[in-house]
Amino acid sequence: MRKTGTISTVLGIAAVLLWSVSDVLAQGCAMCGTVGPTNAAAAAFNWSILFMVAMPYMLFISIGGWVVYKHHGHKLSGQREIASDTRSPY
Amino acid sequence: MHVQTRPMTMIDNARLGMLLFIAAEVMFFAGLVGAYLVFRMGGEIWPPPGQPRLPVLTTALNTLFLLASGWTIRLASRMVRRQDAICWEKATLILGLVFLVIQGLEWWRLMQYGLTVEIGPYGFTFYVLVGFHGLHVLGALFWRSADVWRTAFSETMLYKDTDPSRMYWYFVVGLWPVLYGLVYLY
Repeated sequence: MRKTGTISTVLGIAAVLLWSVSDVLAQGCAMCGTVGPTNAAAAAFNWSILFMVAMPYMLFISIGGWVVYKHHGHKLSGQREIASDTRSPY
Repeated sequence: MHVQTRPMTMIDNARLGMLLFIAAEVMFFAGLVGAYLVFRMGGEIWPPPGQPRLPVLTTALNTLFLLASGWTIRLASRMVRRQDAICWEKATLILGLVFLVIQGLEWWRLMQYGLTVEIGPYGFTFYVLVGFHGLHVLGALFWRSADVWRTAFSETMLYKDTDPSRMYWYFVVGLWPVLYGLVYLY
């Protein structure tokens, strides 16, 4: 009974706090709250963020692709080495 | 005593390490480009009125020198005879040096026209982006020169031992057209 009362109190306080939160606090960063959606600065920020978010994925795909490519090349060159048993001095 | 040989891996440690380093470098430049995009797209007029324009044509020619150095280093890696490879490596280093000298002269001229870091985001982003790339080319030039020097005077050194510096050279060559397009043409 006491536990239920505590939970109800916490939920009640949380509901009051959520209801009273202002729009300013709900913004992710200072820029999002201060510029409009059509502002050039906001668009610049958005494109910049999009670019920087995309870069790790681009890197991951590039490096992953290169490793897979080298893995297949490695398999083939291994077969060639066995066949010819030669190695360039340079 | 029996020594067990290390099994061959998909990619050797030096190359993997270099790959991770290049990935970190890409993120570093992505941060700089991100900052540049904020200034470039956020500004009403770019370049700002009354500030010098960048030398697009001279830099385009200079870009060709750097791209040619990427081609010569590729040729060097395909040579069978060590002396032929070193010849192409020297050509690569000379082309890299020419690129840096022309960049330096361009900077000097731009400073004469009043383009400095202090004038605002236009000058600041230009010098930071292009300057950091120039520093990377300089670093790559020193590193590759040392590797070529070592290869020329060592009978036991294999070409693949110099792979990390070659990969780094490809990185600085590949990065430049992106920066040129962004800073000079966009």
